[in-house]
Amino acid sequence: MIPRNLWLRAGLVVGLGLAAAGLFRLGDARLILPLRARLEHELDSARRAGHPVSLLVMGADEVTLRSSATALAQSSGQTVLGLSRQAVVIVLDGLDRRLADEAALTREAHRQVDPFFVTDDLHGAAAVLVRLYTSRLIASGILPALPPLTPLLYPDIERHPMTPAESALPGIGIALLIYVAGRTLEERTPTNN
Amino acid sequence: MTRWSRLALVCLAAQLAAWAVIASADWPPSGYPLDDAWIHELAARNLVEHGVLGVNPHVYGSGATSPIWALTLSLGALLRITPPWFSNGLNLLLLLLTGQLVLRLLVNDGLPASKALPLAVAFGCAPNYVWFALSGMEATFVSFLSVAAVAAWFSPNSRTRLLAGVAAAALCLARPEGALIVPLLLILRRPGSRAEWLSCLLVPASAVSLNAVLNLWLTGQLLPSTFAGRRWLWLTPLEGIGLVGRGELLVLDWLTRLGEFTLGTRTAWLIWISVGVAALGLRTISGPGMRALMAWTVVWFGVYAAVLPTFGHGGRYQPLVPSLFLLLCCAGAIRLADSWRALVTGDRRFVNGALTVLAVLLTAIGPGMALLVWRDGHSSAVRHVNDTEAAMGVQLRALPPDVRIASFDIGGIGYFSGRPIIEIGGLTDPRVVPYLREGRIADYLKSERVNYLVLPLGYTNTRPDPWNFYFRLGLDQAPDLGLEPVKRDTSELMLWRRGLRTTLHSSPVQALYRVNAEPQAP
Repeated sequence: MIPRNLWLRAGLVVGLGLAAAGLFRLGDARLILPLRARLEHELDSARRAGHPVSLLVMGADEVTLRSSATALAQSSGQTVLGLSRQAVVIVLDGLDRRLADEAALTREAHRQVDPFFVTDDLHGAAAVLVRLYTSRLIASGILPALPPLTPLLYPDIERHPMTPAESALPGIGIALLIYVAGRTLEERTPTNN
Repeated sequence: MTRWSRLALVCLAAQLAAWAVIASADWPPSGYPLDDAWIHELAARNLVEHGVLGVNPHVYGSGATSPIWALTLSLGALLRITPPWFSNGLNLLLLLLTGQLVLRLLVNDGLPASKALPLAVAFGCAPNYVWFALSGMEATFVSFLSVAAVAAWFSPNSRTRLLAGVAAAALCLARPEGALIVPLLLILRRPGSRAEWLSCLLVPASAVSLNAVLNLWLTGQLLPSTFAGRRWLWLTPLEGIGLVGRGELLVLDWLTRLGEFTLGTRTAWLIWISVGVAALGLRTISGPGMRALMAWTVVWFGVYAAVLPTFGHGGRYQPLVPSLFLLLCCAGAIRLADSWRALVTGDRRFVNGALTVLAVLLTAIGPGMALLVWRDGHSSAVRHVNDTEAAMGVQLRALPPDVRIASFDIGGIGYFSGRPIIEIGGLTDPRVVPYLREGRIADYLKSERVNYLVLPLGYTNTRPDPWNFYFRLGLDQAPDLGLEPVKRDTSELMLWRRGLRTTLHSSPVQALYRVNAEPQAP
């Protein structure tokens, strides 16, 4: 059922495109842009204090994540905080090794981040991981006290369902398709026009 | 009974039933679900007892986001009606009146009764919106004033149109951003007479000027004293996110919230489908009155997206959003049902009716479930506030009368302690805000010679717990303050979480510390 109106046809194409592109990328481990910006802002304060650090978020198992994080740390000479939907890896540079033991920090990261894995909350896990790193710098007096990070909630008790934020691209496509379908139905029923 | 009376009664009954579902979870009402509601009650009581409208009995306007709401509540304090009976009763009345006004607006816009009624019911029974009437806050009041201003301005009756300015003036006094409704109304419909010009322009302008002069005279600033403190509270977790990103987060947070607490679903796909249906419903809302209400809601939302990008406790900063969203969903669902009916069944009357009823029922199932979520959330939130802030306030009475007490949360603690509390959240005194921003509140406490401190805490002492104000205020870096734990009032985890998810009320723990630092000169 193709709409007759040109705008609705354009809406159909855009909606299909967004839904398809969004659904194709749905399994990726990605942070939504504003929250990524918030975490980078926190890491920037560490970088400005002379502690170069990167947050690596990728859809991968622990082995792949570890090798990617190690490669990045070696090539860039900085600390790498690696995160996927089920794994967390920390590779410290020489400077950060003086402040913390890598193995102990990774164990602590697992303790704090694992509850977020259980509920599939990637954003919560990333926020906890970043704050775990910066809190060492705060405790050492290198950084001042920093404001809390979003998201604000504790790890959820039940499984974290996909939010509209995480499905925004295909979601907008689907909303557009619903609208186009409704309007097309109305085109076929003159009483509604 | 006229046809209009029957419509009005059905709308009224539906709203009362929705209200009763949530209200019955805490009946008779034992308190408020938000500590901020106690702030208004405290300001109202101070007006009656000390003649000053403010949390601090010596500072006008301190602590109350909406002085006119606190002023209204002072009537209850004057009549010695125990909170929350007066505010709940008043808010229920305003809730019902808003439903009636929306029904009138839809009918005036030319919608047939068969469509106007379900849409008005959807607006008035939106679960989040119904809860506002039990929150003790001004959200229902400002919603009523918004709808009243629009309904009057687009009324076919010339005398009624003159009332728009009065409603707009009250809205300006209830919320500073309310002033924007005046230019919006003037843009959307040019006044037809000099009297209309005067009503719409001069009455609100006089009210705003009077309030500004009063604020400037008594507090030394134009905006409410709560503004700077609230910006610190809500904006610091968003540092590093640009203006567009903050707006995007606000929209996405609202969508998540609308799903769970208005449509009764946490499934993202259903929420996005609802967005499509609501967009379709926009075509039903084609009359000037409802379009104006929609435009006002968008402007209101935009102001917050730019200045204070948060929905606030329980969504109270943009209270019309859940109602209008559900109304649009309902309008869209009815349009879809109409199309199917015309396409599939032609003119068969019984099937036509059945399809319409099915569309309305399908629209009602989700919100019905959301009402139950609010019922649970509301009673949990009331218990949490009673067990922590209010309970701590009662305990503070036992401290010697000459000790100086400071607290971050000021509502229940200030109300139930019945004694002066130094507020450190930046709501009553904007001079505190720089200390908050710089993490130097310890210096402020020393300069104020504070003997006891009440802090909201999380369950654990680990970072990055955002509910833990011991860390958030930088007190972990001020060992010289010599904080000695005295008492903790804690809510049980599941109870706290149930209330938090719906209302975003407050930290799970209130802790009392003795301050052993040497006071320093200010």
